[in-house]
Amino acid sequence: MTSIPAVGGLLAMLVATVSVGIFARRFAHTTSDFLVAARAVPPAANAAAISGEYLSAASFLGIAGLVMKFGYDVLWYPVGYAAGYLVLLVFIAGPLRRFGAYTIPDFAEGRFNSPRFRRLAVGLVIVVGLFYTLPQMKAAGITVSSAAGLPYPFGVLTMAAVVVTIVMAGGMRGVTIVQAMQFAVKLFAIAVPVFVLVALFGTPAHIFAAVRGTEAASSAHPVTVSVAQGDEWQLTRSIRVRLDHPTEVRLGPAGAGSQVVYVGSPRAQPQPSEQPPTTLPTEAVLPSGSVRWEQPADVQLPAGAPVPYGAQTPPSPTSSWLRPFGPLAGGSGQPLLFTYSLIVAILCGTMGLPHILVRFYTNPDAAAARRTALFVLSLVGLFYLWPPLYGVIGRLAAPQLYTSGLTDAVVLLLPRQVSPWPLGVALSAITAAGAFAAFAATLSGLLISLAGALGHDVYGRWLRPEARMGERNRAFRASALAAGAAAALLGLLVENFDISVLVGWAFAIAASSFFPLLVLGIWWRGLTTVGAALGTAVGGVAATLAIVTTMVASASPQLSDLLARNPALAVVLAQPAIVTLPLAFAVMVGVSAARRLPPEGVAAKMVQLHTPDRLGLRRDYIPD
Amino acid sequence: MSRPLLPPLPGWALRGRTSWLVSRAADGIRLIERRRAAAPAEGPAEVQRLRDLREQTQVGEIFLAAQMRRQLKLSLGVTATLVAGLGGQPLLAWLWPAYGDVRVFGIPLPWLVLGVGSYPLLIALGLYYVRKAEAIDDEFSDLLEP
Repeated sequence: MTSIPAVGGLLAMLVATVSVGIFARRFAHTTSDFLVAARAVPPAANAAAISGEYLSAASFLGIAGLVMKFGYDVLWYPVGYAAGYLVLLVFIAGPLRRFGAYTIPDFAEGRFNSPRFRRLAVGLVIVVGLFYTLPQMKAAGITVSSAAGLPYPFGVLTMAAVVVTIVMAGGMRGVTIVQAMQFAVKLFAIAVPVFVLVALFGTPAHIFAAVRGTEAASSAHPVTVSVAQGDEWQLTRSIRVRLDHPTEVRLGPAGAGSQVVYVGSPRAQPQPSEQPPTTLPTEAVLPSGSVRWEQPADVQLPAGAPVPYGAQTPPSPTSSWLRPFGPLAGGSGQPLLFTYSLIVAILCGTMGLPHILVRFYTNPDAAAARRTALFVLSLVGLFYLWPPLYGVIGRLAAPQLYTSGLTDAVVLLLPRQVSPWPLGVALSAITAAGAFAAFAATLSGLLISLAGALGHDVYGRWLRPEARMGERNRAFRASALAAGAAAALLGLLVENFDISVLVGWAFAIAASSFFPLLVLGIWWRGLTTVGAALGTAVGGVAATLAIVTTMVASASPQLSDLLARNPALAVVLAQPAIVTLPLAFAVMVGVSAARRLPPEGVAAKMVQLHTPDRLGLRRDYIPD
Repeated sequence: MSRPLLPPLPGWALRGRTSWLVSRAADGIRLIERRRAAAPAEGPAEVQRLRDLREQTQVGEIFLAAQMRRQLKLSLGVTATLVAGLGGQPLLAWLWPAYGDVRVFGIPLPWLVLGVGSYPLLIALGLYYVRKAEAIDDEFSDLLEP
């Protein structure tokens, strides 16, 4: 399924990104340049760059795909991503800028005078950062495979190589310019096709009316889906499909009760000649229930009948898809608990993402940091209006994605599918370019943070404290390469996970560890080093364990049985922030209150954090 | 940590028009501002206050604690509004299931409220916060260094 224009869009974006990156290479000289662009980024460009970096593949592709899959409940993701910026603005933007540290490890060490705590924070930054690279890699894989028809691993590896090259060449200054440009590309690429789609399908009111028209998602035209060996479908009722050749399928749930049958008729007798002309020569009736394809085939689904659901896609009847507590939250058995835990994770996780805070130090002072955060909030809010519409239109116009499981690609596939030719060509190129901008921007920001943690901390502080500037820069580039390689290898493993679900995990871990550390560290002088370190570790480890348990449960029947009997437990493990975040707060407050030994010089730290800039008492933690 | 912790006190910081009283009231610490209408611009009190802050004397800490409390109260207020505005929606849908069926201009109301209405709320709260926070900072700065 190759699309020339989509490949063209990808290549154009690639050339633009690399050439701006090479141009910016000239300005990158010192470690300071690499890490925070020497704090000389103008505010407007800074806000656009932050937005460009923040709007990841999860925003550009994942939200639309998840809305199509689960409906209303998914709106909490974009709203939470934007609201997380408000939480960051009101609690930490100003004080942290006055404190003048580059990263969360800098804050941990500077606030508590503890190099050991710094090491713990560096470890957690690497965990959260790697978790957050997974969805970017998945987006890279599906963008390339849907545009060029190349295999998923090829997309992951080439895109990782491109982004690593950009980061190694330009550092952050290069990326600031690249990312400001990429915000513009993303906003354009998500908004413009929506207007064309609305022109084709009618106003949102018409679209919702058409969606409401059928309880099951069904296509208005016959559509063809390619199945691979081993693909499984769930059919809500019996349908008549056409096949490119007769093939074997297994009916019924896997195990003893299933039977293998041969579908497609030529073995029995030739097709009657009065059949409507079609490219697919043979037909078969599939019964309702579970169908497993034993051979690859092209299958044409009939018009007007409910589409089958792929194994990774739960059925989503329109009435529950449209309403709160639909297939996503309602399917968990504890809809209210699930919804609130998701909100907590996203709202409080934003500030704990390793690549977000670093950008705030490119502001000259706290007032500028606050205004930048407000500007960012407006820009991302403007962006997040659009992706859910793709999901709604996708349910109407591309329901076969429920069958193929490719809902994450709806932003890429919808323009190609529904437009008249010249328009479709242009729109496919635009959305492919936007998707490239989305994962390239976030991935480069993440790689800089990971390379910063590895090069600045692991190499520059522990392994070779005496290293000179040139060696440090080489270490930074080598770390970027190592982090990119690790991200690409992990990215190969996550093809079957939803992008936004992967993102939700990174947010939950960040919310349970760094959020309490930052908020209490800034606002409570009684927080002790031991309390802060224990709370950060307990929250981060508990959230990680809960998520890993959920991943293991998908492969272990006993564990998934247990979770099926205890929906509340299952929700808390899959979406742990609502428990682990208060747990981390409780550990921090409890241990600190018991020890009653705030670190030395806490009063001076508080002066630095909270004295207005005008009074001239600020001193940057890291000398330039 | 061999560098001096804070830069030297700038000359312009020594001039001022306002003096401070710190009172320990029953409900906590209050900063009381006293404006002297036609007083000379110089005054030892202001110098002392800024020095208190720099050198983290007990008085300085009381000043800073008051400033932190004002800012934190603002932050918590904005957060509470956010939590009520967003967090109230699942509760509303839970207590009143018919909420999911309400439509405005053909679009389901919950979609409009959450997917469109949230962003103006966020931006309005952000704008309110930035203005208030800057005003609090300015007042504090004015009191120490008019």
